[in-house]
Amino acid sequence: MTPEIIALLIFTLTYLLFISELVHKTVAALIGAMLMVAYGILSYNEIGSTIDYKTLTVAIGMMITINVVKKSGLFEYLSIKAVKITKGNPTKLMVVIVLLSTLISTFFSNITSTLILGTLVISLCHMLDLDFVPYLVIIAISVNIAGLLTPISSLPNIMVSAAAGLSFGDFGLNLLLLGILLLASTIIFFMFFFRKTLTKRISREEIDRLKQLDENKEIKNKKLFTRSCIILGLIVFFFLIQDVTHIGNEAIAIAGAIIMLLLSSADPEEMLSQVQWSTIAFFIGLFIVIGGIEKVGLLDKISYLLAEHISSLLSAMFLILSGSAISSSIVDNIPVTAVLLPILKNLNSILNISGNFLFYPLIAGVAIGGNITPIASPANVIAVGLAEKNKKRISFGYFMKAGLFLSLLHMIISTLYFSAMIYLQFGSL
Amino acid sequence: MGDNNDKEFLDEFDIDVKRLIKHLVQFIVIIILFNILSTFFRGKTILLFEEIISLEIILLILFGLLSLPLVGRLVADTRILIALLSSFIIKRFPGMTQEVHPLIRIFRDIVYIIILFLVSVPAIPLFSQYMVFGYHVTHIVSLLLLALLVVFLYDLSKNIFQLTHGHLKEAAAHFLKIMDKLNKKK
Repeated sequence: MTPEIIALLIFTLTYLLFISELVHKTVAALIGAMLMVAYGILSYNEIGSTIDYKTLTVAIGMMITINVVKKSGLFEYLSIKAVKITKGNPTKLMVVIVLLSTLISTFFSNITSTLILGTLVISLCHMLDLDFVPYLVIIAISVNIAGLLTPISSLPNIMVSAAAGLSFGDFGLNLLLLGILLLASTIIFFMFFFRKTLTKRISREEIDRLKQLDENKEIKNKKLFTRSCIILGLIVFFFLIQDVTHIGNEAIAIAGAIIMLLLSSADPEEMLSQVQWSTIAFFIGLFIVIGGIEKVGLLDKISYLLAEHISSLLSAMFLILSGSAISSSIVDNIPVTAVLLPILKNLNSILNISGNFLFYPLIAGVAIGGNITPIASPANVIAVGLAEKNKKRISFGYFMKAGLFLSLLHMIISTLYFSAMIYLQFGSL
Repeated sequence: MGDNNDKEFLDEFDIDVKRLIKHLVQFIVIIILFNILSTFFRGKTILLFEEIISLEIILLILFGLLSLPLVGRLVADTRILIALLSSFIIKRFPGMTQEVHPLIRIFRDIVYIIILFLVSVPAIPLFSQYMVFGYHVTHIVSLLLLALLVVFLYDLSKNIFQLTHGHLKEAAAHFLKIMDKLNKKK
């Protein structure tokens, strides 16, 4: 067997292990990495060059920062405050939940965001005698969509921005409007789709119960709360003025984390132990596997093959958008991004495209794809799990009915958006 | 629990092997009988429908027709035996006893097939280095891997059938309904 075939077999094995859930995804990625070295596809000296340290630095930095913020109770405080504004109106509550999901998932991982909001929403729905199942679906879908807004709002974004050098400004300029359009369409879609739950009348007693919620109770440590708010604000500020300072995402994320540990009075030992090291190991394994197939030239071949069949930028955009959406509905969006990133880098140079345009449909595609099935993203799995824990069921069909239609709508909006972007940036379709 | 399953398997396996051996013996007897009888007819011909035909060929056709049901039984016995053996072997592999969606099961089968290929790459040349035993060990290892490959391929096909069977049935029923409606309209 040639090294090309062996590398392809190892790559397929790793991805099938992800899909089949035969072993934990981190173990699967590490098995793939080990095989790449054991079969001589990569030497020990080459391993280092395959790992994207910028991605790892941003991920670790943000995880430390978020661990401290989580301990302060800031987002729980904000959630209760926002929910109280709705005065128990189910439609207003849905809009607030979509907005809160967007805000929280900008900083937290999808899993944490769904857990924070999901737990809050279940207790709120019990209080208002509402069915919490639609709200859990709303949270999962909003969290996935909000993942495309900033370079730190999802792990695939961290990878793309590290590889393509995208800043907060680039995201704001190229994806913010799309994000707003998608979220607005999501709200309208939910209003129609969950109209039964959203038009329920809430009694005065139920509203009174809601008013009794005390957001201040969520602040466990006032000193930690104030300091983490200030430092998080500063980190966001530095991300926003990145195009002026030219400081990389990784530098801001890790410096922010160190300052947070230094000034927040949180226990560094505890905060560091709460970093999702399994995700970091997963990244390392995945980078080595991708490095292996890149070394034997498989990704170059795929890029040239694609370039031969791509007739215009419009077709390239549609292929990337739909391809990434469909594949990330089957496989976790991190491995999808990992394999598509080097292909897109090659395509960019083969097709001689100026700028980073091709990376934006990828970011949108993996975010949209996460909504198609209840197993397509960790947020969906958590939402389903939360429902089961509270003796309700979100069936595969129920989730897909909402997710699939919404994803199709999002695909149409994204295609139109990126077509307009091509026309404005490159002068023709 | 596991021991009970193994005992059940051994009992079933015993019955199936006995049945297979019985049919195999019957088949061998027919072949021997044919060989003995054919010696009497060797070189002899008969005029049938104005054609000269060898009696040996007529005997072969007759025996062929007679043994056809037996061959069918032999194939069926072998299929049952393979199914039994494959489920016995496959459940020894991690993750293959879990109740999962057939699609996930298909992916798991492919995972094990790829592992077999990856194991064969270093394993076969590794043993062939040893002059005396190497040749035989390589053969044994190759056969073992091949047997496992057949088992996983069988399981894979079974799962693909399971996955598509229901849908195909539904599609066929749906198609029949449409045809029925069209016929009624006519």
